[in-house]
Amino acid sequence: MSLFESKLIINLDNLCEIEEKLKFCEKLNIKNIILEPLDDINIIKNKIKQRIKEITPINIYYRICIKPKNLKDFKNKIKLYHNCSEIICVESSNLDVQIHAARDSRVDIISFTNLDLLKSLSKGIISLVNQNNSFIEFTLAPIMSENISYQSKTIRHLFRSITKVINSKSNYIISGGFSETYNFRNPRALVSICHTILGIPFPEAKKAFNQNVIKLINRAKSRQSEEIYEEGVRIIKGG
Amino acid sequence: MVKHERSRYILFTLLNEKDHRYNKRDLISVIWKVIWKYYGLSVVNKMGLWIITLNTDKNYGIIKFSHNNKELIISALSLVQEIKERRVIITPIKTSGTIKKIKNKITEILN
Repeated sequence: MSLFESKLIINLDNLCEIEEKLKFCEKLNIKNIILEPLDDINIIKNKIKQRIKEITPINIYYRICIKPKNLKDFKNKIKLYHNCSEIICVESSNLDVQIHAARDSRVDIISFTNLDLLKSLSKGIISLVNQNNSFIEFTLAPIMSENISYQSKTIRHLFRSITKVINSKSNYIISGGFSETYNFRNPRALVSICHTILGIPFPEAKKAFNQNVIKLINRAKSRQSEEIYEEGVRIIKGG
Repeated sequence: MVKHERSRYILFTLLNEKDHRYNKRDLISVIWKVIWKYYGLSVVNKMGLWIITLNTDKNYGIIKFSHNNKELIISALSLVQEIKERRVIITPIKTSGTIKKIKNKITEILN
């Protein structure tokens, strides 16, 4: 299967903008995209999913991003996503939230998308993510920043964080996460950027855009299956 | 033993803002700038960059380079953001060792 763009932020109220973005992605030869609604949304309606499916031949998947301010906020928000078929992502620089999210089996991704979040990534979180078989996410959006100082710092932190995660053999994905259309890039090009600028070995970089994303999607799907109790444990109904 | 340096060709497509015109020289200077910015002097001498074709009407081009630097050229092309202060996206489509295969791919895309 071809490579994935694992984060494309959309406004679900504006279908024209979604169509424009997806047509742009078609021109860039992107085959698989995971869409993320802009606001805190509990559920993405099937009607909207159907409409988006009609717009484009690209394989579309969905994720929901929770941005809790503190632990209480996280506990309140995560309650709503008990049996959610979408990928659940948590983005917070609060260490308590990160620890709880890494332990929670409802959370699929812990996202480290900007410099402040990257600075907060610790070995403890990586270890918990590894135990729970969830994923850590990095984005390459800061690479397109025009502020050279911010860009250099972020590249350095990305390099350090990704190296830490690779060494600990935890699951991770890398996404574009670009918000402006003229910053979008084909995932194959992003693999090359990871390899040449961040120094990630080529097979590892490719895995972050392909195999690991497929694993993540399957994890979210298996949550809805009644037969699968947890990863590696499937209930077999005998006669 | 020193290995013989071979050529590689990349076919790329261009996504421009409306009515954006530029020539081979504009494009190659932007690519060099990106290579200088992100990779520096140590790689510049090994590149052997040459733009073979640039068609801004049909939005495609072919670039020639030394075979060791494939990934570097792909990322440099992707890191180009602007030409003549207007937004551009360069997307590599196919890499090949012969120009013939690249030209076959062009006819495939255009058809």
